[in-house]
Amino acid sequence: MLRCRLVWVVLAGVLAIAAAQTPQPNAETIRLPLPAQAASVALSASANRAAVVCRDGKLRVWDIAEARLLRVIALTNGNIDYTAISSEGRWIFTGDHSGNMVVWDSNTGQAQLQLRSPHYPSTAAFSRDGKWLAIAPMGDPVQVFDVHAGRKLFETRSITGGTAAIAFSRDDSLIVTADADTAVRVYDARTGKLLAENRDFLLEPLAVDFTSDGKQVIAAGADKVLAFIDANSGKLVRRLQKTVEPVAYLEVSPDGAFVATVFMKADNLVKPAPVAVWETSSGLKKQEWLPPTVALGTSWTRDGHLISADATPDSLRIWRIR
Amino acid sequence: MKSESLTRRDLLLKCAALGSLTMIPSLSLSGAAWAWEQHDQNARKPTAWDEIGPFYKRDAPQTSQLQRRGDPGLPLRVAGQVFDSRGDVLSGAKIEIWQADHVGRYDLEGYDYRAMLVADREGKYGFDSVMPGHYPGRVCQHIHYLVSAPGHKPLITQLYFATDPVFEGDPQRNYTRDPLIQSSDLVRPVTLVGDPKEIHASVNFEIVLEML
Repeated sequence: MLRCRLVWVVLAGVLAIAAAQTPQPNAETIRLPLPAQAASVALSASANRAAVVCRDGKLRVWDIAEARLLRVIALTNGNIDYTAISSEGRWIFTGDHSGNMVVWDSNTGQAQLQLRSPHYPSTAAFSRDGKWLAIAPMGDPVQVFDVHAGRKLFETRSITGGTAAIAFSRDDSLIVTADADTAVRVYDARTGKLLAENRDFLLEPLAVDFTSDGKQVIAAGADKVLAFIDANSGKLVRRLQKTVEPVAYLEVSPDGAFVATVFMKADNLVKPAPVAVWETSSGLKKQEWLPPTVALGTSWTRDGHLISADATPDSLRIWRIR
Repeated sequence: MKSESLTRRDLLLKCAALGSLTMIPSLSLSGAAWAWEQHDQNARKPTAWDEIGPFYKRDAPQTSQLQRRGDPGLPLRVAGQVFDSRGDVLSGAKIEIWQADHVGRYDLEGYDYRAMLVADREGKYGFDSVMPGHYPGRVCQHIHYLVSAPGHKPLITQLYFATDPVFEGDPQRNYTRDPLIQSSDLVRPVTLVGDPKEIHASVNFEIVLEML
């Protein structure tokens, strides 16, 4: 028994040393100190801002480049399910498990928009210009709001199971949704009219984005494959090679040349899964990086770098992956 | 306006007098009032919703046998009946179920522990499976349901088990330990049946759909 334990201890030690020596190519960290563990993170790499909701019930807004704390906002309910940030970094969406949803103005710390939903948020996304916010409460239709006017513009039709991911096209004319009924849908972002639908997935798509020209949608999820879909017709254009794990998040680079994917471990959702970079033209995987803990947020910077955030009990680490 | 002072019979009488209610000749006013009250008495609370989770897969095979011969895990028999919120049975309701295996793994490549069932003439359904395992990132053992029937709001929910160690024997009190459980009604009692050599768990899960 003792011998068996000794073998395990030695093996664990060897593995720990090996892990410590494993090179992390191109990974540099910025450490943002936090008084409580980060629970939900949104990165606006183009604005160098991070919105971090911690377990102490506070939203902290950081300037990533300067590692400087810009603002602390006390939330009424710290049990935040989803956080999103606009690309210019001004607006921050938080949605809690009771269905309270707020858009915060990070310049003033004031609430710009307050909503109440019967269901907690599944996902949310700001338009590229930050004027609109699309929210999908769990199991409910996507609702699009004018952030400045504080009013609802429209909601999409009801989808069984709701929506797992939303993205706006670069010109904000289109919205794409990854839906629980396994379809990917493209809508007119001004009217909410359904324009195209793809039903090639068997399992749920969990991540979507538009290519930089807005002509195609890249979608992936539990089917473990990146699919390129024609945004006009909804027809499948091509699929990349099958991945080892489901894709939980994806984002196309500013120049459209690459797509970053964040995987999830299907058998262990709390175990870290890789972040990978794919070349959109060739479909080849160009880079893969395993974060030390689960990646809480990943985003492209304006100049084409990819950053990702993970948390320790007392800090948020920003890793430059590419 | 004090409408609460009107009995069902008075209300029907008033509606008939004002022309807002028409009855077929074979139905008397008292007969109609009785039938209406019966419906109210049979009314059932719609089953609580739950989120769909990330691993729903469409086109699951129509089978009630999810456990294959030799599959490890505690055999589990789930049975129930599908109703509408008036208490009428919903025959033909389509019930899609999916769950992790006994060690908490979902089959993403095939259709293990995934099935589609159709409620019979009495709204009854049933399937044989194994008790799903726990897995990191999710607190409780559970089985996913997607139930649909024409004229009714599709229901997405999850079935939980009162024997789950997470509840420490008191699901009524401890069900919120899993933040995804919306109602303690979704945590069902478990009956262990069979002889000690071939014991299996049995659970009843009644489903009530809201009418559109």
